[in-house]
Amino acid sequence: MSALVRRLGAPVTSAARDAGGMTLIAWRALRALYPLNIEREELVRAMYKFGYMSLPIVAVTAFFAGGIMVLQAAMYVAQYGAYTFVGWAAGFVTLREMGPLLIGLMFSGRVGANNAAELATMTITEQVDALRVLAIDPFRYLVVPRLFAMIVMLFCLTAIGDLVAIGGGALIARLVLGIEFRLFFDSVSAMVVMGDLTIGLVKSAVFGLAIGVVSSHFGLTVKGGARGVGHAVNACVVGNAILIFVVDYFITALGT
Amino acid sequence: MIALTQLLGAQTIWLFEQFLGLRSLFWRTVASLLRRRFRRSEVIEHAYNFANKSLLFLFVTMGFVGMIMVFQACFQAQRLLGDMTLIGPAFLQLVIREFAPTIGGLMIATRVGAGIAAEIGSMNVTEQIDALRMNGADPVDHLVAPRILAGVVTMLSLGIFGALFMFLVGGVTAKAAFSVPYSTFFNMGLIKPLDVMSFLNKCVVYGFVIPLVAAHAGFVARGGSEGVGSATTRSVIECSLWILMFDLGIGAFYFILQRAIG
Amino acid sequence: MIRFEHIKKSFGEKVVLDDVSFDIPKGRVQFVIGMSGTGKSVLMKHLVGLLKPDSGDVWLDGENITRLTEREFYRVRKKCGMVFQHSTLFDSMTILENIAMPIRKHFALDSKAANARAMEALELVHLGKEAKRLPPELGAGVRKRAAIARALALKPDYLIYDEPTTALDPIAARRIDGLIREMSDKTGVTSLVVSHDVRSIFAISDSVAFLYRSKLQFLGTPAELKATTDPIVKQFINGLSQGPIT
Repeated sequence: MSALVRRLGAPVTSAARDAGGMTLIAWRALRALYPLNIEREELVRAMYKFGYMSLPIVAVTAFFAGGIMVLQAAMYVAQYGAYTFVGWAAGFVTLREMGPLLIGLMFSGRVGANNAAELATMTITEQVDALRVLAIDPFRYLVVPRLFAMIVMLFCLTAIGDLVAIGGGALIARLVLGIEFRLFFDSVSAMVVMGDLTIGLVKSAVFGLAIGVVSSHFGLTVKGGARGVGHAVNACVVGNAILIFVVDYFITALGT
Repeated sequence: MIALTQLLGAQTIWLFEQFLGLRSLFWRTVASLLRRRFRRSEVIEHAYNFANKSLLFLFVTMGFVGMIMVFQACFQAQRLLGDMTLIGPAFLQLVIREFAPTIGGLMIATRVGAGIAAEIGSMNVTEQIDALRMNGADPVDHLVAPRILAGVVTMLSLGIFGALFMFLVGGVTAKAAFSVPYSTFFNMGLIKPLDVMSFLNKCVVYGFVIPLVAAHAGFVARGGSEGVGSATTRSVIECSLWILMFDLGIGAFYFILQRAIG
Repeated sequence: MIRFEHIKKSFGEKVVLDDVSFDIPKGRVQFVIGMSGTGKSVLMKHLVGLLKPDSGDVWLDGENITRLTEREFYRVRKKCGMVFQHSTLFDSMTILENIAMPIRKHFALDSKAANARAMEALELVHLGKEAKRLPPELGAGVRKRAAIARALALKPDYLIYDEPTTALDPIAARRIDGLIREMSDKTGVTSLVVSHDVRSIFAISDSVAFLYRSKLQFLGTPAELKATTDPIVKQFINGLSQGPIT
């Protein structure tokens, strides 16, 4: 009986420990905002690495996201002749839902996983302890700048991605449905309200925070050698995916 | 600007190299599958592992996507049409055509693909794969073929379960938040044979692609624990990109097919 | 001066340090020796707050540092440098950046001045030529030198070397020995060397503490160590497989 309880309880306690650790990271990071206390150099470095280097992958993802949504809408357009629907799909669905979601997942896979792997490697090779011995707070030096870089860069990347997604939608609409670009853009501007764009971008910033917190947590709490690094990366991408969907749900429920 | 061009160029070359490597691995796998040079028990074992590992994760994520989509759809329908009778069937259609296979595929790429890359990657850097070859065992027969078959089985079964679960969660959400009666929501009237075919087609292709790309990422891993880490990371990204690419391709194919049939 | 007073530390069931007390006066090259797993590195980590004792006190320059918080320890760590067993340089930075980064943080210097001072530190350990290289490209001996330079650049009063010669070939090991002595003589830094390399002990140490089965078995000068009649210590320094140590 007690063995059963322990077996059922183990995932609960470990989930609670993870949740507690992540909350602590988020709280300590927030405290760095006032008084403003962020390592400038590290921030710039992280922004370049996370943002600029992810540009191609985000562009490709956004292109597909826009294209796929228009294609799905096209089925109904062909059926019911509702051409305005295309603009709704490309505009509303992509900008508000699928764009931030897919770009967030990609960012998690690339930047979040990378960050977790790097922090995990630094932890198991004692590089984090080396920082402490050099009297440098690893949290201030490693976690805070990267966390804020992720928030800012995912926001910017999603903004760029939105443009690419509309372009992808336009191209697919032209190729598959034969809708002229002009008509497409008219439809988009008629169907999209500023709120869709804003909510999509707000979401992406929150996703950035989630990815930063999750990847830092799993990176810094790594146990046991090279295998541990693999586990940390895996736990990080899985945790991120769950958190992204949960956050998305709550923002959607609050926003509508 | 020059730097950006360079970055894009480097990424293009990298993508092309990946493509060449993947192509050769693809043909070797097909040959291995056709000649049936793999152990059937291993396929079952892998499928069991893959599916069990991802079931809970998949249900959680799919459930949330279902809630989000129904929320949005009901809200928009309320605003634009004032009528929510079509929400259920249209949602099911979208789930089957798009969300179940694609979101499901992305999640399985995250859970299973990363695992395959880490496993084969660490076998690679610890020279276990060389040891296999020294013993006359072909790594493709031994490691890749069974995982790919298991991937197809997993993707098909989890895709179906995921779609059902999403539909169920959607129905409950519509009832709870917008009081759409269950009898109106759970209606399969809009589903056509082509929708089901595109669903199955996507599942099979993703199930094949995820282990293939992940195994390839593992085979090209270099240099210790960091190599394993980067192989794992890369496999998630590459699998996701291939899934999105095939999603668009297969979607376009079925759209044209549907239009040709009428 | 460093003083360990009745330090006890266990990890779970395993007792690693049991009532260890001794003093380390300033300016010395103090060796802490013993077999693998006898808690030498654990003892040193108490000094910089990477570990805390279960009971007992650690004194540094007359201040009890045992119960300091992580934040308060940053002050102590500026006084105590540490050279890790695997050197533990930051892989993503060049050798020069590795050394300049902490300088920049602690002395509020701009990067130009910090780089100049880092270069000085590198010259001190005879590594000026390798400044622009990345750690993974270099040999273990060179990385060790860079790690020593990084620790010294903060001008610590005490410098802890965790098994400085363990992973090195014999030639590199003797060169690091020489460097430890040289740094101690040149900068006056008190060196604490955790080691089980018997040749280093007789080459450069002023004083030796020998830990055995989590207790302090011997404390004295190298000459006293050589003349000891304790069978356990004798077996260790002569590297014999037969004897009281099993």
